[in-house]
Parts: sequence; C-alpha cells; structure tokens
Amino acid sequence: MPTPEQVFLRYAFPCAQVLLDTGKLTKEGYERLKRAVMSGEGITRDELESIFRSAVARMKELFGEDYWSLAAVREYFIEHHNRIIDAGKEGYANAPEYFKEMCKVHIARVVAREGSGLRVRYGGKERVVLGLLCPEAKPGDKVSIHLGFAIEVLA
Amino acid sequence: MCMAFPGRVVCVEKNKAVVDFLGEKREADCSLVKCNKGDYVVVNAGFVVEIVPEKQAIEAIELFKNANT
Repeated sequence: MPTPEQVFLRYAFPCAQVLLDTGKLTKEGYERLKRAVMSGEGITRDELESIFRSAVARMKELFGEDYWSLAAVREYFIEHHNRIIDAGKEGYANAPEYFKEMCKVHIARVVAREGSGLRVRYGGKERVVLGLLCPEAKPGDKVSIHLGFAIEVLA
Repeated sequence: MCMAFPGRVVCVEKNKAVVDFLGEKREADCSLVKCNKGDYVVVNAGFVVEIVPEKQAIEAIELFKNANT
C-alpha cells in the first residue's frame, strides 16, 4: 500500500520537469525526486511541501487538516487539479488551450505497451505516454496520465 | 503555475531529437512520439512527450520569457 507522499510524488513528478526548466528546482533536486519516484526511496512530506508549493496550498484549502491522506491526494489530482486549470486560476487564464490540456490529469485506457511507453486512449484520442512509473500496466487497465506520464493504475 | 515549456526540433536522427529551448540545445528520446525538424515539442524526463501546434507553442514560449526574465 503506497503512502500519501508516494502517491503525491507520482502525480507531481511530471511537473518537476517544469520546475527544473523554470529554475525553481536544481538539477540535484530533480534527480533526487526522480530516484524517489522510481525506487520509492524516502522523501519526506516537508521536502514535497517545499517543492510543490501550490499543489500543497490547494490541498490544504480543500481538505483542511486531513490534506495528507491517500484519499485527499488522489481526489486533489484526479478531480480538483483540472478544475483549477479550467477556472483559470494559478495563472492558467493566459495559458494556450493545448498547454492547459497537457497539464490536466486524464483517465485513460491502456491499449498496448510500446517500449518504455504505453499507448493509451482517452476522450477520443490515442497517444503514447511514458510508462516508467507503471511497469505493471497492461492492456485494458485504467491509468491516470499527467504531462506525458502514466501515473498509476486505477482500480 | 506549472506550464510546460516547449522547444523546437532542430534535427532528428533515428530515436534522438535535438531540441532548441531558447538557444539551449538538449537531446531527447523521440521513440515514443515521433517528431520532425521544425516541430515544437514538450520534453519530459528526457523523452519527447508531445508535439504542440506551432501558434500555441510560440505563445507559450512568449509567456515563459515574460515570466522568467
């Protein structure tokens, strides 16, 4: 059973690339997150809170004291995160449509494995996403996807 | 705000693309999402994950420049 911190990191990790590109995260910080997400190597709540500030702030707003539970983390990323983008909050009001769609978390069906990728289908589209975080995903599975990554296999 | 920053593909050789991000050139694996020279792409964890329509990519790059200079 994963911890809330591990699930949070899976959903948030694709954004670490953007933090790196915008200079908000160092290369060392990025590599540490990558090791943690790939191997389950320990990462603390404090570290995650210091890196992914807006996500944590939103979670606190939405869930109060229970913001670090598995249910809250999943609900935040699968439901609220998209609404925040659509509502044009956090600066998304100016973002081009294509980029807003890319930043959202989508639920997709796995069609096939393609090398280190997963071919998935959602909303009438078919595309390939990175399968690095979901080595166990197989055709027919439902997965959440975020910024080009398959995040987790959903029940 | 977490908005992906796209780059322009300078060249492609087999499964490697060289992508230009405001002058900085980076290599990315394009075996999952095939791209061509001139395409605007988003790279994540060393892989090309998305080809972005040109007009929107240029808009995004402008937004990025304004936010980060």
